[in-house]
Amino acid sequence: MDTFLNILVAGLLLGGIYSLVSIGLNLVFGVLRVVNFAHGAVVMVALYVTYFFYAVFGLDPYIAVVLVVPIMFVFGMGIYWFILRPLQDEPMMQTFATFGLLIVLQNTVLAITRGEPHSMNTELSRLVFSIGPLNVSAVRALSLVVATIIAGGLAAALRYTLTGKAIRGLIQDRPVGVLMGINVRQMYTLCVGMSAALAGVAAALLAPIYSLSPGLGDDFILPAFAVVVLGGLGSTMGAYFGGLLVGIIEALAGFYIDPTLKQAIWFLVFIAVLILRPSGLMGRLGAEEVGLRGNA
Amino acid sequence: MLEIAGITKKFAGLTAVNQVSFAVDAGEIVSIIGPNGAGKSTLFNLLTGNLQPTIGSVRYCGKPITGYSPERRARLGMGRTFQIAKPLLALSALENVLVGAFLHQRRLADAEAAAFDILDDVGLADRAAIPASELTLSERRRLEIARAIATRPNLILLDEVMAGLNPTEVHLAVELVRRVNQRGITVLLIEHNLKVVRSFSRRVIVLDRGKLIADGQAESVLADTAVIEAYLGARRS
Amino acid sequence: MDTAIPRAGEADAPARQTPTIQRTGGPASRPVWPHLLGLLVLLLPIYLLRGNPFWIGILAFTYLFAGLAASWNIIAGFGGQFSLAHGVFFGVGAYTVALLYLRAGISPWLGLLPAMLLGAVISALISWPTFRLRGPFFAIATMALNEVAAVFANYFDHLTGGPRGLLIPFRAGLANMIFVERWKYALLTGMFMVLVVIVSLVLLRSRLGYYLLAVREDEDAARAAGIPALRVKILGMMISAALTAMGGGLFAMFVRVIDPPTLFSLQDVGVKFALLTLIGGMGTIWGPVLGAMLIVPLENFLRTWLSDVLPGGHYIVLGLFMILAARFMKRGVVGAYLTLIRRRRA
Repeated sequence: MDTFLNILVAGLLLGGIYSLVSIGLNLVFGVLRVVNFAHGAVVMVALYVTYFFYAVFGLDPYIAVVLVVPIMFVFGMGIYWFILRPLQDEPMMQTFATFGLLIVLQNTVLAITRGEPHSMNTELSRLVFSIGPLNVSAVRALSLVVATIIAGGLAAALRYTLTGKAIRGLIQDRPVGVLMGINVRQMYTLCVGMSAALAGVAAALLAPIYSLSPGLGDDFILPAFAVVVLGGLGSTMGAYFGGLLVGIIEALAGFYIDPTLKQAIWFLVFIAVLILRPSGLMGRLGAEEVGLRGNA
Repeated sequence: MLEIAGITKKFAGLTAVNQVSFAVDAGEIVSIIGPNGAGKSTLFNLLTGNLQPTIGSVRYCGKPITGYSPERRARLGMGRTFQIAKPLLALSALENVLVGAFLHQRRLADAEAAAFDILDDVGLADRAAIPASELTLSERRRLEIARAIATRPNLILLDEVMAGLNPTEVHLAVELVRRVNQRGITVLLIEHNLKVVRSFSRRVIVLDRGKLIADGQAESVLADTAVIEAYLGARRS
Repeated sequence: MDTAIPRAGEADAPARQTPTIQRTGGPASRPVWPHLLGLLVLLLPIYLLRGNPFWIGILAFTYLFAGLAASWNIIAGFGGQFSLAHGVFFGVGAYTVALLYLRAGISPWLGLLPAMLLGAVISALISWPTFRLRGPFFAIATMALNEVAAVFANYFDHLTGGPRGLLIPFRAGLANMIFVERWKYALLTGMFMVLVVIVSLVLLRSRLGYYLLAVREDEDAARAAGIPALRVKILGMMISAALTAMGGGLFAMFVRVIDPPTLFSLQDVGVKFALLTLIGGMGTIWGPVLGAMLIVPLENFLRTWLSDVLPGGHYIVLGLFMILAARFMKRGVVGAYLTLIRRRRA
C-alpha cells in the first residue's frame, strides 16, 4: 500500500510537470489549431536561457524566471510571426515547419554547447520531506503547486477577462469570433507568446530537476501531445488534469509492468482516446473539425 | 425505386427531419422545395448515407439500404452532387470524371474514353485538360453532374445545382438535367428557384420545419395555400 | 461502350456547335518512355563514380532515400495521408532481413519478401484505427507509433539486440548481398529506386492510383463516386509500407549495423522521407527522387565538413530547409516547374 501511494504521488508530481508543459501547447492548439511540434524544444531553449543566467550571473532559476518569461514571450511572438502566421490554415505545412524548427533549435543548442551536459543543482534539489510513509521531493511538489495555480489562473483569466473571452471565442468558433471584431492576429500573437512564456515558467521549475541536454524537449513533447488529446482541444483545465493522469499512468505502468515499456503503454492509452473520444475527456469540441486537407 | 418511410433525424434537441415518408418512381423528376432550414439538405444526406436517421428506413429498388455507407449506395446506382460543389481541385476536368468512370471500367483507356464522352455531353470537352480549380462555378456544377453520371446511376440526387448561376447558365443546367432524365436516370433534386421547378418537374415535395407538408403535381402543390404560406411567407419575413 | 447520354432530340444537334473533340492529353495517352529514359540517366553516375568510394557511397544512399521518399509519397503524396509512422516499416524491414539472415541463414534476397509482407500487414493493422483520425491527429498518432516501435525494439532485446543493435558480419558474396565493390550497392539501391518509380507510374495509370488522388482531394466526393475511401487508403498504405520495408532491408545489408536510434530516428528516417518529398514536390512521380538527389548529397557533404566545426550543423541546415520549403516551396521543385510550363503555355 505504501509503495502504491508513493508511486501515485511520484506520478502526480511527474504529472504536474507534464501539465505545466502541456497547458502552453494546448493554448496554441486550441486557439490557432496548430500542433506545435517544437513546443518541447521551446521548453528546452527556456531551460538553456535559465542556465545562461545561472552560469553567467549566478542567478537562481527561481529568480531568473522574471527575466526568462519576457524573453520567451518575445521568442514565442517570433515563432508566430515568422513560422505559424504565414502557414495559417495549412496544417500539413505547419506540422512540417514546426518539426523543422524543432530540429533547428535542438541542433543550434547542440552546436553552441558542444553537447556538454549541464545541470543547475540548487540546495532545494535534494530536499525531500516526508509525510507519513510518503517521500516528496520539494522541487517537484513546488512544480505541481505552480502548475495548479497557473491552470486555475489561466482558466479564470480566460473566463473573466475581456481578452480571455475573446480567446475563448476563437477557441470555440473562429469565423464567428472574427465577425465579432476580434483582432485575430493580435490574439494569436498573444497566445503563442504566452505559450512560450509558460515554457519559461516551466523551465525555472524544471531547472533543479532535470539535467540539461539539447534532446530534453523530446521527453516532453510526446507526453504533452497525449495530455492535449486526453484533455481536449484548447481546454486549460483539461490539459491540467490530463497531465496529472498521464503522469500517474506512466508511474504506475513503469512500476507494475516495465519501466522501459511505460511510454508504449500510455501511447496506447492515448491512441485509444484519440479514436474512441477524439474530443478528449474534457473537451467539448470535436477534434474532427481540425480536418487535414492537404494541398499537395 | 426509392421508398422513404417515417425518416426522422434528431440533432441534440433539434428535429431536423420529422417523420418524412414518400416514394420516387423510376423515370421521375422530383423536386424538393422548402424555406431555408426546412431540412432539405439533412434529408438529402440521410438518403446518400452521409447521415444516419434516428428512426425510419430507406429502401432502394426494394432493398433496405438504411445503414449503407455513401460509397455502397453509389455502387448500387445512387449518384449525387453536393450543395457546395466538391470538384477534385488538383485534378483535371477529365480526371474528375475518370474517377467516377472507374467504378464500372477498370482499365484506364476504357474509363478515359467514357469520361471523354460524358465531358462532351455536358459541354466541357474543351476544358478536359484544365484543372478543376480553374473552372467557373457553372462549369464546376456541370463537372459534378458529369462525375456522378460517370458512375452510371439509376437515380441521381442533385443538391441545388442551379444556385448562384446566371439565367443562361440555369438554362443550360435545366437542359442538362432533362437530358440526364431522358437517358432513363431518375432525378431527385433540391431546388430554390420555383420557376425552374415549374419548368421541368411534374412532381414537387415541400418540406417545412422538417415535416413534409405537400407532395403532388407541381401546379397544384405550388398553388396550395399552406405551401405558399410556408414557403413564400417565410421568404417574405 | 456507349456511356454518353442521348441528346434531347436530333433537332438541336446541328444547332450545337460541336468542335472536333481533342481526345488527347488524357492520362492513357501520356507516354512512358521519357520516364524510363529519365531513370536510365539517373543511374549513369554509378558508372561515372564507380572508382570513388566516398561518392559512390553517397550515391548509394541517395538512391536508397530516393526510393524510400517515393514509397512514402505513394500514401502521403497520392493519398494525402501525412504518415510519420514510416520509420516503423523501415525498421520492420531492416530487422526482418537482418534476423532471417543472421539466425536462419536465409539469403537477404529471399528475406526481402517476408520483410515486405510483414511491413504491409503491420501497416494495415496500424492504418485501420489511425485513418479515422484527420489532420494533425493523424500526424501525432503515427509519430507516437514510431516511438512505440522504438520502445519495443529496445525492449525485446533477445530478438533485436536491444540498444546494442545487430551487427551483420562482413562475408562478401552475391547470395549474402554483401559486396567488396561499393558500386554494387549503388546499383542495388538504384534498382530499388527504379522499382518504386515504376510502381508509382503504374499506380498513376490505374484505378487505385486515381482513387487515392480522389480521396486526397475530397473524401466525401470520392465516396459519393463509389470509392471505398478507407479500403483505398489502407491499400495505398500497404503498398507504400511494403516498399519502405524493402528499403529498410537494403539499408540493413548496406550499413550492416542496425539499432533502434538509427532505424526509428524521426529526423533521419520518418520525417526525412517527408522532407525529401516536399522539397522535390509531393504527389508527383519525380518530386521525391529529385528531392533526394538535391538533399542527400548536400546533407552528407555538410555532415562531413561541418562535423568538426559545428556538431549537428547539417541538421540546422536541414531544419531551415524544412521551414523554408513549407513557406515558399509548397509544391516543390517539380511543382514550380509545372507552374512555369503552364504559365508559358497560357
